[in-house]
Amino acid sequence: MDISEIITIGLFIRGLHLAAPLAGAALGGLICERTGMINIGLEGLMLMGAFTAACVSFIVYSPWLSLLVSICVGMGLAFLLGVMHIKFEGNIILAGLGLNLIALGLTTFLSSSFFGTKGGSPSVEGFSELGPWEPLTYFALVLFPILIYVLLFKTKLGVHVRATGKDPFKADTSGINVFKMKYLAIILSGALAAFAGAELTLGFVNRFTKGMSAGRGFIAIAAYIFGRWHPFWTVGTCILIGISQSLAISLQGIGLPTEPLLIMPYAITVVILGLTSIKGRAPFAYVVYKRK
Amino acid sequence: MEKITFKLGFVPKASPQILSVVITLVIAVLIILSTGVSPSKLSESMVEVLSSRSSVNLILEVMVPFLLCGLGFLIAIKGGLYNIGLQGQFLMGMMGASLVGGYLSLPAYFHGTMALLVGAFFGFLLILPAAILKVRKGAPEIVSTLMLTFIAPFVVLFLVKLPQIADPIAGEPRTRPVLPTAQFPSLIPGFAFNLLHLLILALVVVSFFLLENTRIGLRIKAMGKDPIATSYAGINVDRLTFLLLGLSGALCGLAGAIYLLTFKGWIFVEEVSIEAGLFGDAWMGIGTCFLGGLHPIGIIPATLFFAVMRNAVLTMSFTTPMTVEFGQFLEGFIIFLIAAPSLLIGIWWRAKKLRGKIKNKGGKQWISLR
Repeated sequence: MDISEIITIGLFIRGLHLAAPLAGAALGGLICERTGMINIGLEGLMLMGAFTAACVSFIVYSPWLSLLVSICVGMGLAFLLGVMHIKFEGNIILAGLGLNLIALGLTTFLSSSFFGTKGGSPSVEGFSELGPWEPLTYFALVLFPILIYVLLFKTKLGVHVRATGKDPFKADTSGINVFKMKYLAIILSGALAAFAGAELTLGFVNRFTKGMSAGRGFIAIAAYIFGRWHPFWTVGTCILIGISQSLAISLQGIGLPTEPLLIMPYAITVVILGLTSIKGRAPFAYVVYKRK
Repeated sequence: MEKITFKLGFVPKASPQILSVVITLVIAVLIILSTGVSPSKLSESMVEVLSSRSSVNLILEVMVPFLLCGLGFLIAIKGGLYNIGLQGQFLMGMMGASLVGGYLSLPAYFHGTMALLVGAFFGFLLILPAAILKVRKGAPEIVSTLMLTFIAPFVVLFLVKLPQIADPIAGEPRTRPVLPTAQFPSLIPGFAFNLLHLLILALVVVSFFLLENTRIGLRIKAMGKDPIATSYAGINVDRLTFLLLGLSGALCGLAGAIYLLTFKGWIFVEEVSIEAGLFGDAWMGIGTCFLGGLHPIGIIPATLFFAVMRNAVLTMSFTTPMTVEFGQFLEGFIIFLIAAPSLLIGIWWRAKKLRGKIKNKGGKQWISLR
């Protein structure tokens, strides 16, 4: 077995393609965590986004329109999650887990009644390729990280968002509308996660299958922690994970065990957490914000 | 992280738990109506589930992960620690029990006990990194347990596919079936009810007494309220954290071991696929824990409810277009609603106000219930 048969240009192209949905979801999770909320529901939001995209594209044959509708659905669901956590002071971990279950159940249940087939949809209209990838890959890997970097570190709004995450009480005292920032972050994270989900259906296989997000929402959490909550590092991590997944596909083709490679993102995240955490100082203020 | 500071009694006046169940059932009936099926089907199948022997066995099967993983989650959350890696520890427990139960030959009862202990130890092993990092470096245990959960399916897949472990007579890679010496005999003929179920119930009662009537229970609850104040009171918070997380992982591992010994017998590759790891039964331990009002005894009715509902939907799926995933949706909806008790209590108050039972007392008084 020659190593040049495994390491090819195709491997990297596929790796970057696999990284794109991860990057979308991870950027969403990053924004959310920057205001002190951990969004466990990324997985469910992705799944709902993927399902909506497939449904709309099934009816109107327009990938761009279905992308738009799916982003709107993601924003709506994330807003619901935000209302539960921000307005009614609920437990966001529990609500996120519930959202994941709802998404898995609802998408499978609805797809069997909507498409008439159990476990998936027929082939729908997807994006045509633009260069090596479909257009959404460029959005997720190039445009979004730059936009989020500018938003977080170069604008006044970004300062407010980061201040909210560090200490909502002091932020509120200094005149920042903490609730607005939190809602903004969670809605943005819903939009990005749904974008990532829509990319899964419209950019990869052009159909919806049951549970197709397959843990990407959770890998996204690993990615942004590994990337230290910085957009560029996060996307870099996503690209690394994408390439390692692509390598795993190649290795599976020649019959080698792929499990050690697939464990990597999770295991390294645990190690990174151990190396970088400082006792008694959480990176963000994970509190339910209540005005005194 | 947000601490659970509200203490709801077992059945308070306007219990958010009951309200969330009621709201979910109303939505379930609406959805069933919209598909053109009579909603009485739901109640019929609930009765049917409780009256047939095979579905009682199914309920007993589902109750193991729900109840014991719920207990594992509860023990940790009483100390303010979120162990959301239940599913991974559950899987590792299954693997450990399978390795002992299918590959060693030991005398009866001793064999099964060993399998249980090794299963619990495997669950403990999976949470060990999270516990050490939490104690040493203060790494948030929510993230580390979540990450460790997803390591477990790959570890199990890797082990199951090894030629030394894979069963040679099976086509698909799977572990060898559990030997009869490792199994516990059924106590009631025809039902899969054995000593291990009694063990689970005993564990629930023991943890109730541990939390409510002992010094260590008081310390655990104090740590859940405020770890810093607890450490100033001279309690070793680090040791308690390690103990709680380890115990939580071990309980989930034990749940996996019991599940394997009593119901499964072997581990299939498909059962540990990534999707099963994502939305397996053990995740529902979190749901049962919160539906039970974060109370050890409360977990039992919550588990019963979830198990009956799941099997009722399963029964319905044979005759109506309601699939098993519909049940999953309902479970998710209950968990989603229970996340915000003040929303539910708020709905209760608004409804009462609309009926004119209470005058407007002004302000958001229901917040103070938390």
